[in-house]
Amino acid sequence: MNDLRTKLMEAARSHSPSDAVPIGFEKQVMAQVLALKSTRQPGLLRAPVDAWVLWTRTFLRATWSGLAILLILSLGSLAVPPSDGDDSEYQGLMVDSVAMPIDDSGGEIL
Amino acid sequence: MSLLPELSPVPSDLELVHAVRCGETGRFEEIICRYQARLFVMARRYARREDEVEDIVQEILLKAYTRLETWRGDAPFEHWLMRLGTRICYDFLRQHQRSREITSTELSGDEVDWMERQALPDGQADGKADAARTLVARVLDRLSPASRLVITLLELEDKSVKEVAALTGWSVPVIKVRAFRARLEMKRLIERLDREKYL
Repeated sequence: MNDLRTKLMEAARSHSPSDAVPIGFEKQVMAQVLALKSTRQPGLLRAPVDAWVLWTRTFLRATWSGLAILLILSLGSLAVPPSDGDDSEYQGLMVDSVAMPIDDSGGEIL
Repeated sequence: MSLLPELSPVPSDLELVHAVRCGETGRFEEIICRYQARLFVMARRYARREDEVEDIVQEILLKAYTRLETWRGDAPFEHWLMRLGTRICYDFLRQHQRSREITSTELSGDEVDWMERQALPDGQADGKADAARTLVARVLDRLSPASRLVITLLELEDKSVKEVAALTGWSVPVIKVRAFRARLEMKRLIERLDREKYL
């Protein structure tokens, strides 16, 4: 069967397709090209992009990225268990610092 | 007075593309004339009807025009155009994927005759190359688009795996796997035809 396949391929290879081009084909394509060009900004092959469209696209992309980061951080904070350490010492320190009398020595260094 | 540099009598692809980019759209016709015959050969390998062939070539050329700015000139223009053409031919195959079924009753008398003659010892199997070519076309029509593309490029156009990779954008291992599957697929189709013709 492989032999038959090889023979088939040889037969197909021995005859490459015709390179004939229909008469006036290039004119037909050029008409399409010119029609295409007339719908575009002169001198530019690429279709012009409106600045507002560009700005909105960028803004939306940034918004979605921001929301995704926010979501990940929120989930991360929920996943981390609250610290069970005693923070009364910290609170005491803060209260002490507020209640401490102000030194009126005029900033002299003793 | 034109601001563009003077084109040489036989302008290079780079000069022509530059002129088109600068607004001399008419110069694109020279590019068309230079490559259309090669594009027709390529398209005729994938489409049988002449109107389909023309549509494919036209699409390749129009896409080439709209994407002309993406050709940077670091590779020959022909390679860039053929790569674009290969992608469009592949898209055509995917859009026009025909029924995968094939039976020997679809074959002409000449095609069945050709298959029978291949069983004879060498020298006795006569030409009838047309029948063989039609038979190949029928078998290729039933292959999956990827298999057909790989078989056509590797076996009919005698391209290397690396060249196929450059044309299709697929990696070398992917092409090797697809070529293996394509040959298997083709062998099964021929086997079935061979079996059915005696029923």
